[in-house]
Amino acid sequence: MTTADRRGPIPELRALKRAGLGTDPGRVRALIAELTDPLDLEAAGRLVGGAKQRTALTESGSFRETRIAFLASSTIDPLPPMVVAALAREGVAAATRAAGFDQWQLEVLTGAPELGDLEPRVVSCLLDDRAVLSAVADPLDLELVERRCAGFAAELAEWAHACRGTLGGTVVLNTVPLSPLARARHVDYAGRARLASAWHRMNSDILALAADHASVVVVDTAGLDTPTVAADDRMRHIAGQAFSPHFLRAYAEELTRVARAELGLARKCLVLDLDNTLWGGVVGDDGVGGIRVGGAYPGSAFSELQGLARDLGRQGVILAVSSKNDPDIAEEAITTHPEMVLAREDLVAVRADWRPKPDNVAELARELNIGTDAMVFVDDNPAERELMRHALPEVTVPEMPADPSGYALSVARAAGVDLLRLTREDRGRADMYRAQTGREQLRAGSDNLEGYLHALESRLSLEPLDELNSARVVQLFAKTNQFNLTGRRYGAEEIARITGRGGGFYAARLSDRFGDNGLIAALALLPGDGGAWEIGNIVMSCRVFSRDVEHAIVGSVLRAALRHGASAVTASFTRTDRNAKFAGFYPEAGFTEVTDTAGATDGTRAFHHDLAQPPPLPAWITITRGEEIIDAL
Amino acid sequence: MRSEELASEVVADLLDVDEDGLSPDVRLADVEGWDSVNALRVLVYLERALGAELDYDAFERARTLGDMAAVLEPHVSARDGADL
Repeated sequence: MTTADRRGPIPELRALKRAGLGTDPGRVRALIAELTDPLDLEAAGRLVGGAKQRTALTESGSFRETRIAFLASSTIDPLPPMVVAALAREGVAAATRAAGFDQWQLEVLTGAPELGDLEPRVVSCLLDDRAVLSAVADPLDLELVERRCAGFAAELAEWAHACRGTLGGTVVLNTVPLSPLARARHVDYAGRARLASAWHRMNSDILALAADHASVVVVDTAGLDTPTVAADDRMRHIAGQAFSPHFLRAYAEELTRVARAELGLARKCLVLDLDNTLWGGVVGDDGVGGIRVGGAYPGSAFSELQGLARDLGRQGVILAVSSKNDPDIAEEAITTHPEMVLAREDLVAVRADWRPKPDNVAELARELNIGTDAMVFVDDNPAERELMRHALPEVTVPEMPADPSGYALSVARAAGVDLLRLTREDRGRADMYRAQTGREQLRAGSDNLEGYLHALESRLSLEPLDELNSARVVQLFAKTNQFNLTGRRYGAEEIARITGRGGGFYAARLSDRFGDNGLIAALALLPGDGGAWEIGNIVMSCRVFSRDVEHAIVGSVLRAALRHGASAVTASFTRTDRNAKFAGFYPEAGFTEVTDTAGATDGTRAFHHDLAQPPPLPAWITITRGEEIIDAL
Repeated sequence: MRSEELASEVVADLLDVDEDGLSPDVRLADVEGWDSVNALRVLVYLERALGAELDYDAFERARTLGDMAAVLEPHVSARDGADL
């Protein structure tokens, strides 16, 4: 029998490796996803983790890259390949390197000779109890043990600080499991309790390091999903292993989530099915009164999943529904069933229709302006899951158990929405996206553009540059490519220099009936020739295109110039590779082109407004603070 | 499955070497990538496949793929029996 005849993910991966992993990177991910045993995951990692294989995957265009360094107090040979495989399954090609056996301290103390040039983004330091107890002369002397435990977290913090200095990256520490033999050598329960008490306090101190140090993540090993912790006794003795393959696999999965989060790959949106997913039964057949949610099992299982979804939503994960149902009855069930945990407001969109679900998911992604690879699809129906995996392989599709009692945990484990640290923006994100879909729906429902613009009830507010908005103003100049009329990107220093010479910078904020869009535009005004004002540049976020906001802004500038007795307002447009569609902006705003021959050759067009007749301001935008806050130059 | 097939299959998969070149008289030391770490991987993998703990000393003493297969033999036969 030759390799080619055998079936199974590992032989197929080997065949793919020979053909070149880049020929079918999607298949690489799918094959690894089929693996259930830690030893197979390790084998897969060794197959796809070579430099050549990594290059093939990244050059395929569908893989991201990361670099991970491993340090430990025991033999962890299987761990790096497991992480490589788990990350490959997630579309990330990881370069890994491990320090030698029990070199975790020495490697960092000596300036990282083994790991330094890897420049890791993530540094995993996996410790077992020998890291703590080997420094205790007599394991039965509980006072010694207590002292060692009490000082260990501080020692580890110092190590993490040094590690960050030499290696950089996010440091991943762990709570240290206490091995069975360390407990069992004490004959009395009082002694074991004292040992465990000191040990738990130490682990609690280690966990607290995550709160104090922004670049430290602590994995609580007590929470890992593994049937065993300690290595097989023979492997402890033969190979110096401390942890079982199952433990290492569970830790590898945790590290995979950290590495993804560190790359900013957290998934953003959960798309949920209704019938037999968010509630038991089929609402179209059973009626709103007949669906099962809340109360005793199985209703409790559906409530559990709803509760999880709601809590993810409260932390910035966008929630939407895609269900094969009539929209009226779906909405009725969601809004009126007394046992619903999720409220209608928790959902940015409810797609109840008879279209293929991949169409709904793709359309939602477009409306929310996120990638389909940021979507998670939750559906009890294996056929729907299969269709989604086939049509949109980049969508995360958690495998669901047959019984609803396991739904919530399955989704929690597979969703991949993990973040290193939750920010205020994350919490507010759902509101922002809800507003975005609201605008899209309003546009679809309006029969003409002007009606839509009026219905939006936009409010524009200008503000001078100040301490609070300066970072965002610099960011707008730096990041804006399309509505960027001269390509000039003012940095903080240049802004200070220009304002020192009498120039002015302003920002604009836009809100509408769906919420606040935040600071969406910035402009630079410079003193021009003969008492004229010169617009140095205007930049505006693409989020608010096609609403005539730019006309309200420049109109306010013209009115302010008139009010302060300026002789004219001049402006220019410099073509870049991204701003072509705004080449006609100044003429539309009532400016006359005065490009001279010198300007024409370098592609800069000059414009002039004599202020005789400032253009009308767009009627659908209420300007709450406008020309009156723009100072004389 | 015969013990020789199982041994060559696992060595081929774990070390990613061509299975056709793995005859029973092949010296393990001559297999590309064979080292102490990979030897342990093969051991643990075989034990999982057979659902039994192998004689570590005998496994360590094995010099050829055939020697290794001999270590598996009692467990492979036991399993074949159980399958019937």
